[in-house]
Amino acid sequence: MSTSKNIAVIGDAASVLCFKAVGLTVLPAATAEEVNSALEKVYKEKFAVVFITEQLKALISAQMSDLIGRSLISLVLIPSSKGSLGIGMSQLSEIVNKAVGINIDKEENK
Amino acid sequence: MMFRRAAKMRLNVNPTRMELLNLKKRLGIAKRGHKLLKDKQDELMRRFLLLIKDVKDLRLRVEASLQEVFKKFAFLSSMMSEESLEEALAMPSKEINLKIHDKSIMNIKVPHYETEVKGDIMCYGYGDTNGDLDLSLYQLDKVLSDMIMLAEKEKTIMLLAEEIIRTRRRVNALEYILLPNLEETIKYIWMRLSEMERGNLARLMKLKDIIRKH
Repeated sequence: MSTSKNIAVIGDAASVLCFKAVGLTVLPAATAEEVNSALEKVYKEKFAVVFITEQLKALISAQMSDLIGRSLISLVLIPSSKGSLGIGMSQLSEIVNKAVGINIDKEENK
Repeated sequence: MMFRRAAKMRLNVNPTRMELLNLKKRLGIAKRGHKLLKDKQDELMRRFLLLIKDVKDLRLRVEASLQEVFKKFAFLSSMMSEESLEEALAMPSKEINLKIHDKSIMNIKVPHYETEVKGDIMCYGYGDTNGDLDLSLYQLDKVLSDMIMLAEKEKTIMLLAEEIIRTRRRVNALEYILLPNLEETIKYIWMRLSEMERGNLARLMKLKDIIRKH
């Protein structure tokens, strides 16, 4: 199966504006409502990859993250212009912990 | 506590020879299934651990270079007026299309992205824009391919992790519930049957004695 779909970026306008120039669909959002409606659009229009700034991750509703998680949409956290919060990294470690059952990263971080 | 409860893990079946045969067959199949699933889990884990290191490096790289780009843009927005910056970026001529192929890792469908790029990033007049804008856009363009690769790999990792969790649940269910249950029940039936056999033998010997006395 091969379909062509696009890539979307969700984030505060200051951070994501530059992505417009390199050909991505930019959906500026700041409030929880805006974030979720942007994600809904992404889901309905069958985007393949969504980049979202770490700051907005907390605003995603449970239903929305569930919906995205079940689909083949790849939701990727990126730092915003205000800097990285390390959520993207810690999310990775969380996945590893869940899969492996133990915290194997601890030794690496020491 | 666990061991005491183990005695109650017996399945609710009649202690007959027929059941014993059936259960032994089931035990054989369950053991084979358990071995297969365990192998699958090990292989999934191996691939997962291989990938996870890649993804971590990639994420570190992407985050670092994105921050650099953002910093440049912050500079730019202070040097150029907001309107002219927005104007320059408003009508991009570059288009990125993703082609999605399904790749299969151990029968798990994972996405594989292929980018199709059309147009150029330079699509604004050079009169009212800063030269740094060109540079930072070029840099962003470079990060983008890494970002797409990161998206692909992170999704793959998530899917693999889910499958690992699912497989582990199955392996554990077999290992700690079904297999002990079956073994327990088989032992129980076997003991009941041999007890009956011994009872029968004793009865026969007794009968034989009675008959001999006559």
